[in-house]
Amino acid sequence: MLITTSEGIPYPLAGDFSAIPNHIQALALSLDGLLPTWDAGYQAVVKTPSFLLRASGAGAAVTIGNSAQLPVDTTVFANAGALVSNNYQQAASDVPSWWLVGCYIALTNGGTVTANTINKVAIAATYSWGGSTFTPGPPISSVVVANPATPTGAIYGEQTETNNGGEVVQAVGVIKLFGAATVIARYVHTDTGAGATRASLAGSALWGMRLGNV
Amino acid sequence: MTVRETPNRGIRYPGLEELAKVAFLRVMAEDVDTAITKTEALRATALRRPRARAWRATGSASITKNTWTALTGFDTVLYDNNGQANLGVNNDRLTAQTAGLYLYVGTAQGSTGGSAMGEGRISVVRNGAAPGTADHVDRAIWAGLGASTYTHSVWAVFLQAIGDRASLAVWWNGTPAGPATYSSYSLTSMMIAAQ
Repeated sequence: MLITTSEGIPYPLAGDFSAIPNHIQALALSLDGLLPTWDAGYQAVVKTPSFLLRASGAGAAVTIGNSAQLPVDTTVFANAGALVSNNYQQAASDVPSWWLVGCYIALTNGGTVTANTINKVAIAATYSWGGSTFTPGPPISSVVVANPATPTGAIYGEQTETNNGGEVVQAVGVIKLFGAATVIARYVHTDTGAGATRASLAGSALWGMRLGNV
Repeated sequence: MTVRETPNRGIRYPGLEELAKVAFLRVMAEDVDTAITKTEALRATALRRPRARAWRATGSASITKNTWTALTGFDTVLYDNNGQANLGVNNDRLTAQTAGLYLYVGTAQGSTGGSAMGEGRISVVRNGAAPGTADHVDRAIWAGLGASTYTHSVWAVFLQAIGDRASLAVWWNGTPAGPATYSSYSLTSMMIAAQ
């Protein structure tokens, strides 16, 4: 019995008539083995590794020049990786990957709020190796603004303070994750108003979808 | 006669005693045909991730000040590869036909006809959720510096079951009495992952 070049489908040699039932069985079983493999590949395409995490409660109130982590604690959807300590963590076994990540953080105010100041959010990725924490290379999209209260190598989003009922600040960008790397979102307070604070609200979210291997 | 079939796709194949009957080879061929057809359907779905965009190309909506108002009147489907838009029935939404995680983007242009607007907000709304809830994701712009016409956008990620919908809503406030007019607004969806 020989096999085809690409998929290895068996077929009988000329004159091998006595074993035709075996050849037909081999052909049927070969196809039966190939089709599930193809199906799994197609199913994997539509089940893109992705996540949507939400905060069920309010975050810490921060004062001018400070930031706090968005306290995501609820997994709405995650078909890869997991919610770990208010972060999204890619599985340790995953290869280095590009991810499209985003967040929308609803902020509430305290104290005297100043209109036209900036509310800012940041998404950053970090990973631990050998007992140390590293931040992977800078994202390939978005504007990175230096600020001592925020992590470097982060994706930022800004929203003008309207002084009317709180704000929703959004950020989105492409980021690189190594195995077991974590994605965190933070909100930053830059309002100069006396006693002004910012805190995130329940329902704020962090999300991501894997784009492909690095 | 003993019916033999493969373990995964149930492809029937003849043994020695059935070989004399050509019909059994036809049965095997038809089972292979059925199995490949199913695989082709999965391939088509994999290569055509559900996506849609509805747009209001003509006319405008009148929006009362300080009132969240749903945007209706989408009149153009720019693309829709799995039936999320049905403007003849509901001209204000995209309805998920496949369960999964979706990314939605809403855009709109608002104007108070010459007077400076204060603040404008746009929201992507899941299943008619109320403002201030997790399924009413809004984003504001501050036009208090003197703009009377502005554009803004918002994006949100929702986990949708079949039949769950997404729509747009807007709100504005400021010195003008209004109403403001909103035009050229669109809602875009892309499925991130099937559930």
